[in-house]
Amino acid sequence: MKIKLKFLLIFAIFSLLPLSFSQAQTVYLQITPHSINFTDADPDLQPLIQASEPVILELEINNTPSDWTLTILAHGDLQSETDIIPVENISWSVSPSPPFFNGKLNKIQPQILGKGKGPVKISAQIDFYLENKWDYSPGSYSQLILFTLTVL
Amino acid sequence: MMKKLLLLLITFSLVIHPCLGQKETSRLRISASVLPRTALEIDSGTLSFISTGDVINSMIPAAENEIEITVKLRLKNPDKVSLTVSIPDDLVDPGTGNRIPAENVHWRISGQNEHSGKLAKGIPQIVAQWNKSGLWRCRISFFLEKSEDYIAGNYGQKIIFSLMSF
Repeated sequence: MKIKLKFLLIFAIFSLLPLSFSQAQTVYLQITPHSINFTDADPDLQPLIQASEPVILELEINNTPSDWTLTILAHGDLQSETDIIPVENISWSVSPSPPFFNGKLNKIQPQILGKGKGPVKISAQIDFYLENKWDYSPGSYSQLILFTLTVL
Repeated sequence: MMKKLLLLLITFSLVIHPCLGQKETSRLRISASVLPRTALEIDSGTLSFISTGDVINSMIPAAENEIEITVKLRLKNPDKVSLTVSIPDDLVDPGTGNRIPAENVHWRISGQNEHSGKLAKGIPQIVAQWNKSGLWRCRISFFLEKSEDYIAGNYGQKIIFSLMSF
């Protein structure tokens, strides 16, 4: 009986720890740079402003056959001291597609930036664009965007 | 008891634990700078008053009426912008030097803020005002007072539209 218990204990430890250990290393998400900027432009000449530089995304998932999803969510609208620019006025284009998809930012519903299944190691380039409208009030606006990689 | 606990541990490690989702997050700061800016567009480059000899109306409407004016503004609160119209001199016939007083030209803004006025030589007249960023449109019509005093001829002058912030 004791031998059986010992066997079960050893089996439990060996079956649990490696999984925990390996899964802790399986999900990797890196974004560079950590900030981008849209410079002022004439809305008539440049109705869509491209961000100062592209965002490079590196994603790696190992040791899992599971589905993965990468979402993007804005914490809110772009905010200055007194005014806002709706965050829905920012869109992105990404390559390669698939597994990544173009879209528009949203502050309520996370938007799917990419999805797939199983192990993956991939880099993506994301270009962000701001609709340049006359009704924006002058100011310096800012907001945080959250990328979330979920492995099911 | 111990056995049950171990079985539970094994079940967790083999079945439940691998199914728990793993998450990795990263943040990006997005910033945008918006500078004050204005633009003014007028859909006609000329105004023509053609005398028809009509004795019923006291005003000759410009052939181009109504003229659409588009004002594009990026205004910092609480700035205001005025659209003004001015005329530097009387209407002059370059062949003879004869004049029609600038004050004989009337204007009328139509739409929600309908109002009217007269041109005044060298004095800008405010025809519309805005205090918000955006793209705004208004329509303006011009009329020349009829007068027996005018001497036949071809008269001309420049009218200047300006956006002035204050």
